[in-house]
Amino acid sequence: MNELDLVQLADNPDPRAPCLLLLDTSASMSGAPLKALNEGLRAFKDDLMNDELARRRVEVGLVGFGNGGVKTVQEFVTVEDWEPEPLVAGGSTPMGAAIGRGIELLTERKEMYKQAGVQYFRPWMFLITDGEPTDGWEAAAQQAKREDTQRGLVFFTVGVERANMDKLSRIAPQGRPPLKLKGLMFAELFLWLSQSQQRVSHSRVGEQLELPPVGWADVSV
Amino acid sequence: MAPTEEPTVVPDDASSIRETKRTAAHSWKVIAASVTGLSHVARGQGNEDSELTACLPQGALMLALADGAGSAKRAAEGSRLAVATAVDALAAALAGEDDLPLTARVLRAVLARVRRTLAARAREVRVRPGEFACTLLLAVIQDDTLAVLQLGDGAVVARAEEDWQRVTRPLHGRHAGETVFVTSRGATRLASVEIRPLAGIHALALLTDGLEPVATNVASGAPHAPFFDPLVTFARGKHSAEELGPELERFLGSDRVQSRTADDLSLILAVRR
Repeated sequence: MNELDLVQLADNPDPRAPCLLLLDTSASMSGAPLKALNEGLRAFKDDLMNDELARRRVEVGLVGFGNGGVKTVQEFVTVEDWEPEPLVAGGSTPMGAAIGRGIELLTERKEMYKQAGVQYFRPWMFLITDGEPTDGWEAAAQQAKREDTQRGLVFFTVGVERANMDKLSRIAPQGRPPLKLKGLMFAELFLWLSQSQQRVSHSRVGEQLELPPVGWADVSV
Repeated sequence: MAPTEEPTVVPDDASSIRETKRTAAHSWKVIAASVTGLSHVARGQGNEDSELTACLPQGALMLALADGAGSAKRAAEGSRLAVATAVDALAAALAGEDDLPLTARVLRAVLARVRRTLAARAREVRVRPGEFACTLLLAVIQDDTLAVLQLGDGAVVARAEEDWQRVTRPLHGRHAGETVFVTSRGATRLASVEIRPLAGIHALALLTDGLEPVATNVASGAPHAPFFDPLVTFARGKHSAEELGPELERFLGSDRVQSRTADDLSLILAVRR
């Protein structure tokens, strides 16, 4: 049956699953929290690399806010091309500007996918902070909420230690309240994020994707 | 439009379902294969696709393919029940009425019946109907008509003259991985249905979304002719459909194909004899 050897497979790019992390690198993150965060990022990469599809499909982007203002620490790259660099802490907490930058980066990325004819999964934007915004955040938060409601992205917010959960709950989209990290369980958080992204990158859903249980956060905030 | 009438009930004498007149079943050769995808193997899930080919009253030939949603707990049962119910429902409709024309309304009624059956089964075992979620592709060849229904992703493609084209529209969401299932709200209305003359169509294929990355151009949705043409030559070979089925299954399970997609892969191929 050598006819089947003649079958030529179409050459399509993998669909992409963009995952943008907005990370608080303000002075208060110095020491143990930042160390745990850096280790978490490494664990995130390592776990995603174990999944054949996720390593090709998940694209990670990093925005730091704190040290040096808002910085795009990592432009979107597939997991296999990502080499996590340790973050350095310092400065205030320009969270509003970081959210604005995040939406901008995701919008650009989506435009790029469309032009290249690459399919993409609903992007995730994942914010982690241990404080509260020191800049104007209302407009950016409003825009992020709107994008979340219109299903343009999924916006998660996580508070660490002394984070102002009250304010965070005003920044978070409705129906997706902020989560309070238990202690410094960054490793667990990033394993969960990796497992979630693996589900996303394998997913085929009619309505909502079922996410793994959250063991790293206090449920009621 | 949602149908208001039920297809007529299947007669007790089930042999009437197999009875054929001058038939599409005789003029088409059908080869089908289905294999479990690697990510299903990794997750301990079995193959959640189901395919069924049946000869119906009035000489009709029916091809049915359903792809169980990986997110649904009873997806495999859902897809099996969907193709079996679809075949039974159309057989009943054709048996109950002489010269029933194959209209969009008839196919939507078949889908409505599948939805009710899955919903009833869900009630019986006390789970949400969504746990039986699957897509559904149906193609019916009767006399000089081709009738196709597509609900969800995957593809029904036909070669008319030398040109491969999709017969129906897939239902993809805005994002990758999002689609509509038989159990989704408004499925009957959302299904894409095409009734067209069979003249000029030499080959027909139904495939689940696992094969779309290798069998279609994902950006445009167009079938990839260099994928399908050799398959048609293969299917036209002198061996019987029963002999060719396992060959096709080996092809779908080969590293060459499996390394490109992680999902279950199913293909029903029909060629004119």
